[in-house]
Amino acid sequence: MIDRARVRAIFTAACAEPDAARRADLVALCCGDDLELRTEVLSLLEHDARPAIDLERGIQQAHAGVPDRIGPYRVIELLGEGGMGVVYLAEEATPHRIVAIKVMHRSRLTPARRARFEREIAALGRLRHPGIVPIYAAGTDADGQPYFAMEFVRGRPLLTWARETTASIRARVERLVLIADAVQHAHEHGVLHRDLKPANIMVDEHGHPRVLDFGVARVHEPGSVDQVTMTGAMLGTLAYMSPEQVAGRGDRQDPRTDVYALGVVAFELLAGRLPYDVGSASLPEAARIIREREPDALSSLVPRSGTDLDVIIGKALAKEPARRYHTAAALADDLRRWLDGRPILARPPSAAYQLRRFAARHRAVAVAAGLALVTLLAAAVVSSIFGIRATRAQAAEARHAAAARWQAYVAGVAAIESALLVPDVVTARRRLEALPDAADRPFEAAHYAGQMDGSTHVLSVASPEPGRPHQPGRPGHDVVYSVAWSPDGRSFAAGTADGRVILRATAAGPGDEPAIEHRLDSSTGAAVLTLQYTPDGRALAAGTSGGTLLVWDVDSGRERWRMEETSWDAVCAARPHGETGIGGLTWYADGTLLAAGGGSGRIGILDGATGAVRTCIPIGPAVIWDIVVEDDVTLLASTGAGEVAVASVPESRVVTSFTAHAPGTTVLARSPDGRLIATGGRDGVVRLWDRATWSLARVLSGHRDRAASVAFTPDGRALLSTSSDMTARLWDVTHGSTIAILTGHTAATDCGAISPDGRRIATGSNDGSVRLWDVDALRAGATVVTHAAAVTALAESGTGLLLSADATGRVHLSDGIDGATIATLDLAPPIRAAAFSADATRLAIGAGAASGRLCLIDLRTGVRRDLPAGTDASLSRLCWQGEHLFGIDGDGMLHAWRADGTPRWSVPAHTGRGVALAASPDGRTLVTGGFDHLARLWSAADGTALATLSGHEWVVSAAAFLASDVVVTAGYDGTVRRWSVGGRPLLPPTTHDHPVIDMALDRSRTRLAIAFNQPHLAIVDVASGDLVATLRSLRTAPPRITWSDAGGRLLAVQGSEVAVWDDRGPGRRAADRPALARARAVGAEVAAAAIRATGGDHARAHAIVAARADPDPQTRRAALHHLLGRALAADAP
Amino acid sequence: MYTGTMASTPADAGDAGFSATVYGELRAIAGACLRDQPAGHTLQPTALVNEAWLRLADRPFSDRRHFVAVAARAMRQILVDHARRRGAMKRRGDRERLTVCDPAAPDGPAPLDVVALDAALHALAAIDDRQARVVELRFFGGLNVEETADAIGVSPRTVEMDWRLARAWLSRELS
Repeated sequence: MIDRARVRAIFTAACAEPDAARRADLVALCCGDDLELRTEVLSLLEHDARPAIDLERGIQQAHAGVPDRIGPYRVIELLGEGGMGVVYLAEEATPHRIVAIKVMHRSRLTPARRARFEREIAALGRLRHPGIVPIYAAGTDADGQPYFAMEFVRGRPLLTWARETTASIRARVERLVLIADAVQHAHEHGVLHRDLKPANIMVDEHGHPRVLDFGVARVHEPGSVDQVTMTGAMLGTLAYMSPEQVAGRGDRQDPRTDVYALGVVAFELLAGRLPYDVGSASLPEAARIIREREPDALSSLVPRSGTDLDVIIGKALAKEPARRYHTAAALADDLRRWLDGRPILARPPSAAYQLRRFAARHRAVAVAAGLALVTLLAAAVVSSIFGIRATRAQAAEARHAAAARWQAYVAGVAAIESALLVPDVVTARRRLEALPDAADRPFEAAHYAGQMDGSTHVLSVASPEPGRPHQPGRPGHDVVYSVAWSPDGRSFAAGTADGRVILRATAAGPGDEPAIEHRLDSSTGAAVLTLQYTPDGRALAAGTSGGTLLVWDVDSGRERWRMEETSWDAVCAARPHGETGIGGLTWYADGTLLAAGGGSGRIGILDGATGAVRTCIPIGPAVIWDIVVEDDVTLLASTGAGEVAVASVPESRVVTSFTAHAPGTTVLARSPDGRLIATGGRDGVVRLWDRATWSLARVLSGHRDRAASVAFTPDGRALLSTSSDMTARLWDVTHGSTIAILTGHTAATDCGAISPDGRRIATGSNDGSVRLWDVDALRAGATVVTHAAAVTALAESGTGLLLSADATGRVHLSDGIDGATIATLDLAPPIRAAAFSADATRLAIGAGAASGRLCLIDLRTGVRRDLPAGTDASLSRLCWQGEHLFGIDGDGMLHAWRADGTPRWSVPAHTGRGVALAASPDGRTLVTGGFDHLARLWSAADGTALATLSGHEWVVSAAAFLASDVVVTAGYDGTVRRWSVGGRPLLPPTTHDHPVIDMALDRSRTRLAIAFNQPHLAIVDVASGDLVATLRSLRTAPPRITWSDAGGRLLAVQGSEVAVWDDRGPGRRAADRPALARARAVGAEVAAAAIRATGGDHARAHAIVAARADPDPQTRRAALHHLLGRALAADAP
Repeated sequence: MYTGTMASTPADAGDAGFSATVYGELRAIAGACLRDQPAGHTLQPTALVNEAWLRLADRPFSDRRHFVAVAARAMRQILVDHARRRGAMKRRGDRERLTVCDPAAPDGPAPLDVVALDAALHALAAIDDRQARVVELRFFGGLNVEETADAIGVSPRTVEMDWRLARAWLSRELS
């Protein structure tokens, strides 16, 4: 047996030796006396030099010879070969003429498809248009291969013509009009070209364009699935393929696919190159480019083309067919308008649409690299679009005022969305204020408004002292440079740029304004850079940029002592570097000593009682920004050189130092257990270091500008950083992840501190404010309900009662505002369906798989009934209409019950699973959707089928009635479609990039929320069908969504949690908590009183409470919830 | 050192359904090119594999590396099946040659017989599995050296040497 490894080694070595003789020697040497091995290697080397096979060539193209005759035609030569066939130049005897013959590959026309081929040829034969190359005849050749003969066009391909004649833009556009006319003619005869490209367009001797090669065209029969072009994607040339074609959706093609190709042809004809460069891209990459990348603006490539051609070609090249010209004629018409100098009909894509695509494409950049770049660019897009619009639309101005207002609104919301992604609340707020109809904020505007400030309190430091002139114009006057919490957490202090210190007592409730305790003044006019309470909280030390250290008595507000840094010179051996100024100071744990340092590069250890300097430690030439006292002998300091220095106090020297950040402000904090050191730098990065080894433990990236302060929470599990990017961030120390981004400040946020109980944060900013934040609310984010397992069903009563059920069968009934539990039930999993009646008096829950059950709850009495549902599969969805309950199940059966659960009727509605169900507002019609790709309409009275809505190409996952006669359906194919109750499509479908999983219409029927298999939600304006917002702050794709209350709140399942999108940020939520708690307490009393008054009759108690006018709605709701909770507990089986 | 066997591509090991899907898709595409094909026809494995990838790219599997391994195997199967069928139809051993060399280069290597190549590859796999895989990926999958290296997780240099050795070995076997 030959050792293959040795063969390989010797072969490899020999290959490296170019000289044949020396190679033979090498092999002989290596193989020694192993003859077999030597023979093998030499034999392989020989075949390597002259291989008998050509593997490199792979499986390649091969030609048979050119046939002599095809049918009655004498073949002259081969003209070309394409994916669909071979084209020959041939001669016909009678009439004597030269023809082009295309012989179709037989695979395209197996016997089963012959009929179709014949219909196609017949259709092509019907095409009589000067712009279309006519077909003379069709037949089969000797081998039985179908062919057709067409006019042989003497001329040049379109691009060659343009290049060789150096045609003007106008001449080119004239040709495009004629081409579009020809395509329109074919469309009118039911023929799509599907392979339009310049190579298929000849310009004849008279300069007329002639479209040929309708070879892959098919007879356009709506609803038929195209088999002939099953191999679809590759037939056309990639660059001319529409996004839907490259997505492989062969049966989705319609005339607008040709319109797209015309757009590409037009672009290439005018610009001399393709709208996107797909040349060197791999095929999937090219497909991605076509689907995602926006074409370049034509006007940027062709100087004199003007913006109107941009708009026309941009419209033809729109990614979504619905945004294109719907016909080639419409494209031709606009091109004619351009030629005639008349106003074109196409509108530029709305600013909102462009922004949306822009933001979608740049989101990663926006989030990662950030800055206000996205916002700036977005703003530029808006202005340029409005600029275009202004020059164009003066005449139509009045007519389009409402539309323009609406577009401005949508564009504004998109700009807000982009700005909040950065996050740049200044821009977002400006855009919000500029929104038309600013007072009446629809859901998305209210939601974004709520996201702009997550703090619970905003406290201004701008108000000057009485008798002290406020100098608003003076830079830095209103700036907060330092903030500190008192050790008892009762108050905090803020230091300003003009040397004031403001002490405030935090109020009892988060809703109350903290009262000012003291206003202290260093009277130095220099900025208070650092503040620190003594451990006992009785004194407060401040360090100023002027080099003054002050200590005040907190209770009296009187100054205990002050000391100039320059007075250290007597003690310090080291001369001061640079300026004076105290950047960092810290008390020793027992409060007897104080370490301070700053611009002089020295740390002084001072007597806490007198300020007398005891020791002086020279750190270095750079400014000292933060000091941490580790123990009696060790100090840490961070410097403006980006260094962290470890200093020995007894030795008065730096023991070790290392560079933690790029030079610039560097801040420092120590974890409560002393094991971790956090540093923040000018680069915006926060680093966590293992104190024992000084190895880098974690890098916290996210800030887009200087990290200006860092602080650990008392439990050491989280870290606060503030930044010049206007935000602060709360980080999870263990995972290095962001817990929350604190947005609200409108300028660089220089300082932050966490209260000793770890529940509140104070931040100070150059915007002249201190903001307070609630840590629990920041942590909770948008979560209202938390389950132990994945949430599978979600429903809301419209009155703030929220139902969520999880995979274990646990059902939570909770207050939809704050998630407070009202009751829990345990039913058989799976629970996929639950519905409240419109008047919020009844609740139905579908539970269990085979022979599932229906749990019916009367919300007035708490009486609960568990009945067999009469289904063989689990219920996918339930809905009420008046006194009737409807449900659709996993077998596609549609069921109807009376309110008491008595079955009325059941009909088979879908093949496969039924998933979507909705009832019309007038109660007469039901719509269902299923895995059979269909939506169906039914009589709610008896289950009679009314209409089948076919058009979706995948599962119909959600449905709703926009009105009693308008249905909207959505599916995994990513489309949202509107239908009349007669079953007619009302508008072209809206296409989204991802499968639609769920959809919810708010009660006012103004907004449609759409959930995808992606972590975002789309908000669509019902009236216009426009996408007005994309909510991106989701962690996972939401399988279920629902609106709450009057529509101001959108709830979505997030794994095992339910989260809410409303007009509140964490600050507002925290601020609402006390009021909610009060309402709940009062509500419980009201409920208890009602139960007492009615002798425990829940129904009457409910009626009494519901009818009461005096408690506020909040309290009444809490009382009703309380009653329900008690009733359900009493009725528990 | 590579120790896997040809039968244990990730697809075979993990997900038979995946192989079936890719095979089905490629069959559909290649079938149209191959079925009852006139003598002159175009068959470009790279394009076919890419088209299959394009069609399947939105589906749950998106690891291209995984995909091409399966696709190359599927292409091999499809081509060999096809050639076998053609051979059977023509009775006798005069098998249809799927590829002929460039007619303009008469001194070049002989036309390649896919069925014979397949048999030789099986033999090669028995003595050096990785070399056989390299040939499969490059010849049937249309991958270049770098892509092949990426697909089997070795360096391009290794692929080059495997290819050279395999080519020499197959050349001897098939001549």
